[in-house]
Amino acid sequence: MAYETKFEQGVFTVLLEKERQEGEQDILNGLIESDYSGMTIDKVIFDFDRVIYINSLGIAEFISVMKFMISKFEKIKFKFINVDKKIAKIFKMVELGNLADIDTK
Amino acid sequence: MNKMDTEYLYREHVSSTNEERVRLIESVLDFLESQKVHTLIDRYEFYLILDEAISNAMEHGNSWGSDKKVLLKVTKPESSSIEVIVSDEGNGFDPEEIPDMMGDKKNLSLRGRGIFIMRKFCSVGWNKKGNEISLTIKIKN
Repeated sequence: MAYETKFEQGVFTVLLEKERQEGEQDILNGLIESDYSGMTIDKVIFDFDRVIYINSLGIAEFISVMKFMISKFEKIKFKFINVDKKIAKIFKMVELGNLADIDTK
Repeated sequence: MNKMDTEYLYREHVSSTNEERVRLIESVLDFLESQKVHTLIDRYEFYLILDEAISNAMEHGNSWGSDKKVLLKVTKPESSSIEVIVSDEGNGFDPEEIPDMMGDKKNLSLRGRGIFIMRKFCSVGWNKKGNEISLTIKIKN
């Protein structure tokens, strides 16, 4: 499994299971196929605790996921937590911080 | 530039598969480390820019066709840098067509970040056809 999810009080948390995020589209496809009926999501938290590497294909997948979630829940916010410092540096470089709050480990 | 300067430190053809992508990156890094070639960027950053160049070649150039090859060469054109050249079998592209994805506060574009990352860590150039990228990376003397 590429991820686990939890929904609580408007916050949808996605715990990323794979160490390497390289744009395999499994997170995007899984979240597109999920059933959100009856859910009002205000915030999505991606937990990067287990992630040790991401490339631009991986970053593009997360942007696709965010685009999809925005299409479902217009005013949704995003947060990346437990991000490795090297990965956070890359996120900052590509200005991902404009789309999501980024908290490092 | 004399003949010695243009000899390859490393040269390998690989199939356009994920397994070969990862193996090639690690092989290049391990080889350079064994030769005591140390770049000013750290291993993580070097890994990432190699990945971006090879992934672009395999994805956009060769459409991940396992029968299509990517060629990677490493040269040392001068004492202060190495050059990594990655070429694919595709029709090439015009680097000018890659959108400048920075500066847009809510940028949701899916393209351009790989090249942007590479440019942050090294000098980047292409051949005229656009199917061969060269990365010039500063090394410690």
